[in-house]
Amino acid sequence: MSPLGTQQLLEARSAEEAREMVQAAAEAGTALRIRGHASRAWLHPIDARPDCSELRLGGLRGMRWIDAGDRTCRVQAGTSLAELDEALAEAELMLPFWDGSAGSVAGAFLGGGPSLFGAAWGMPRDQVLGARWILPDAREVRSGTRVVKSVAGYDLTRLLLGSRGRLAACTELTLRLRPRPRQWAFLQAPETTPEQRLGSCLAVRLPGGSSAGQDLVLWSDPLAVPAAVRAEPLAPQELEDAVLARLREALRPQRGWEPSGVHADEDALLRDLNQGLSVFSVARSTGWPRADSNWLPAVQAVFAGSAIPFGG
Amino acid sequence: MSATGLPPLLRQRLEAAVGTEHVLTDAGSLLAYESDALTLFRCQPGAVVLPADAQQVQACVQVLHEAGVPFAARGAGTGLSGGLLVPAGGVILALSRMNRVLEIDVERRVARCEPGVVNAVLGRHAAQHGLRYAPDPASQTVSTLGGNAAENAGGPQCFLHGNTTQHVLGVEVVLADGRRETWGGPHALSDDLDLRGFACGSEGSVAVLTGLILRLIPQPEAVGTLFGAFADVATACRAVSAIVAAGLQPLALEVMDQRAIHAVEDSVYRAGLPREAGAVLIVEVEGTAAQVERDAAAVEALLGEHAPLQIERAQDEAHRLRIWKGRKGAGGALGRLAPDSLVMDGVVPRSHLAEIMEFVEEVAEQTGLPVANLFHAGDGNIHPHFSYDGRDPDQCARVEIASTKILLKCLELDGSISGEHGIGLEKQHLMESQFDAEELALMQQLRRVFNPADLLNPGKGLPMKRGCAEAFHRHRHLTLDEEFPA
Ligand SMILES: Cc1cc2nc3c(=O)[nH]c(=O)nc-3n(C[C@H](O)[C@H](O)[C@@H](O)COP(=O)(O)OP(=O)(O)OC[C@H]3O[C@@H](n4cnc5c(N)ncnc54)[C@H](O)[C@@H]3O)c2cc1C
Ligand SMILES: Cc1cc2nc3c(=O)[nH]c(=O)nc-3n(C[C@H](O)[C@H](O)[C@H](O)COP(=O)(O)OP(=O)(O)OC[C@H]3O[C@@H](n4cnc5c(N)ncnc54)[C@H](O)[C@@H]3O)c2cc1C
Repeated sequence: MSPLGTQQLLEARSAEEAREMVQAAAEAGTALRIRGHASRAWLHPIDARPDCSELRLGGLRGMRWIDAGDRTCRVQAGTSLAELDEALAEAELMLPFWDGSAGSVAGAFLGGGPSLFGAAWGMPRDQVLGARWILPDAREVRSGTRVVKSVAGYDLTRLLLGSRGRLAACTELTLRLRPRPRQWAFLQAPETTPEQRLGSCLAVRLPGGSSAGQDLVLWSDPLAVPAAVRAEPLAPQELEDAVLARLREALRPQRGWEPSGVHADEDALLRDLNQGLSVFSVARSTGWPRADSNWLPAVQAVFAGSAIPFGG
Repeated sequence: MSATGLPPLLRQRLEAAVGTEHVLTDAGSLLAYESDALTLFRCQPGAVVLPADAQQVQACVQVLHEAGVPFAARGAGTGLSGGLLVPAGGVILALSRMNRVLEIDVERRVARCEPGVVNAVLGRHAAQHGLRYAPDPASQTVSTLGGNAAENAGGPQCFLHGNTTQHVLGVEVVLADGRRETWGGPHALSDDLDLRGFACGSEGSVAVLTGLILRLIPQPEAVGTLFGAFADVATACRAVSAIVAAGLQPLALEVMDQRAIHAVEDSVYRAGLPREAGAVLIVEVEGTAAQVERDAAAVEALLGEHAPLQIERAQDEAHRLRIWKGRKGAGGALGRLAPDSLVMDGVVPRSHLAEIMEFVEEVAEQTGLPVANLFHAGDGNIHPHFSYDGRDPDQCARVEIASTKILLKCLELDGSISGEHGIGLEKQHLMESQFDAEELALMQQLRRVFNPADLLNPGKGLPMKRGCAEAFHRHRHLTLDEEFPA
């Protein structure tokens, strides 16, 4: 069954095929919207244009390279977060961005959501060094570089990543990675109602952060706050103490937040995280306050050239 | 151009906007504002205007927009890419009076500041609350938050914490036509077109930043600082790779070569660095006390595996400052070696550091001019520092060719022509080597969306149309040759 209001569903398996599909759509005057795995389809109705055909890039899968020395990698846009994580685990690296859900790596950046890691590492897009794109008129361009630092030219990478797919289709990303913790611990926050969860989610997420200290890292999530510990594994009690101390410090400003204890159960954590995300996302889809910039049409016109800009 | 160059009506209107005493047109002032810290490029403005707040910036920009007069915002003028000059008759909006830290929201760890606040001043405010502002350019005691954001400045700590753009949550702007907007904000939901990110690093050509909403992070519980001296730069680079390969994440990884060491030791910045060393490496780690203890020990062991001539680990804060003293004073010390210096800025993937440093050495030999090296090794960001005499045209040509050769080599190694100083006027001719025509065209078109008449810091950052360069009175013409004269 084709997704909501979709004229046609196109699924590309390679960047070249995607470009041809975009070209054909441009020539036919068909509007396109871009998706990865469309795992967040239930979020899209508020944006979706019913007259669009949908181009999915979830088939562009696989790692191009991992450079452990530089702590960078290049990955195809449709690679799932799980596949990416698996490949990085082998190199003892990680992308500090993870929700344990399905979905493509490009979607994770282009979906416009905040990161569970935001408190520690800022916005997800801070991990993107460069990318390749197909524009609505089928031009192919690169943005950024593969080095961790470059200020040459305008920062097209951030502009494009912040567009929720309405400026260009991403085919490949070059990412900055972090060393993978050797030990993880997860903290379960006290029981709350969904409303409280949502409120706390904001309260905890918005402050923008704990230190990115490399050893103990906090994810400020409403339901569970995992902490990652690098270096030699600590004894359980030692770990719990360290994590609790750090958590108290992080949550001190959020009145009424007293961590209840450590739980080291990854599966339970993932369930909680996804539940938290859903609460957050549902609120968003039913009227999350969002002001689209007045600049969108003018910026879209630059990237679309003579073609119809990509739909939301 | 002097006072007479500013049409009386324009002058009157600017004076009405900011007050008579804040419109400067005397020869001395105009001379002081004719360039940034890359004095290779100079052009006297028609006037310097010092607005007190965002409303006054807006009023000035409206006047300049209507009159079709080019203008640029200025922080402290420490830019190193010739990015801050207007064609003759243009106006410099000097934001040094807009220097208030408006708010430190300790709960949310957010600071709201005016753009003229000096980087280190915000640092001191934040420190009172156990917080810090991470970006730490070497110019931080002088350069401003607005200038740092406009250039997307970096510094030693950026290896761990990222460049300025990662710490700017939102910007209040006055657009080229005088409208005011806010892009981004303290909530950082990153859910809208990221114009905040686009404005960072745009070298003052997208909007005038009149307010900054910045992310603060907690002070680390502990810091560990280590120092290693090695026989040569290549060994220091190998030690850097070993530290990274071990999964450690230092706050900073800084290297200085022997010429830099000697320059420091021969200057007032003397720090007791070992003169016989071919290179020194400073490593700093941060985190909880236990973690710092572990990481510092691990770093110390790794330094020990690279035949060090000397290893030190800071025992206290005074010791730590002593270790950093040489590195922090190096820029100043090198500046004294010759009448002029060119601080280059290029990036390579970290794994190519040793290779690019060898190339820099080769090129320096060809120029016959001394080069010293200080670099952010963790980021692969090199800063060869050439000393020369700007009165000698042959020496000028040689440094410029050397610079071009080195930056093209950075690109060959899949790097970038700038890691933190920006393009300005200095590197425009190299943009076509890093980006293809399509990518540059997109950047030009985006510039036109926000800066349609190109009145806002005209001609910087992107390749200029032929002829436009003549609008700027250059100190002298840049050589675009890529080979040294025989
Ligand atoms: C408010 C919100 C908060 C979120 N928070 C988090 C979080 O904290 N952590 C986390 O991991 N995930 C978060 N997400 C979800 C994140 O978007 C998914 O994890 C992502 O991986 C979905 O991938 P997908 O391929 O299924 O995307 P899709 O559902 O296919 O698309 C999502 C969005 O990304 C765009 N897009 C996808 N692929 C491309 C591409 N190749 N080129 C251009 N545009 C593309 C689409 O146009 C669409 O706007 C959040 C999402 C939202 C909306
Ligand atoms: C000794 C020395 C050491 C340095 N070390 C470093 C370093 O370690 N890392 C690094 O990144 N840089 C370094 N620099 C370069 C320079 O300090 C930075 O580029 C700094 O960010 C410039 O800040 P400023 O306030 O001096 O800006 P200015 O030089 O005044 O301006 C720089 C650019 O920003 C624009 N601009 C300034 N303020 C605004 C505003 N409010 N709105 C819009 N545009 C604006 C200007 O138009 C200009 O294009 C160094 C410079 C010197 C002289």
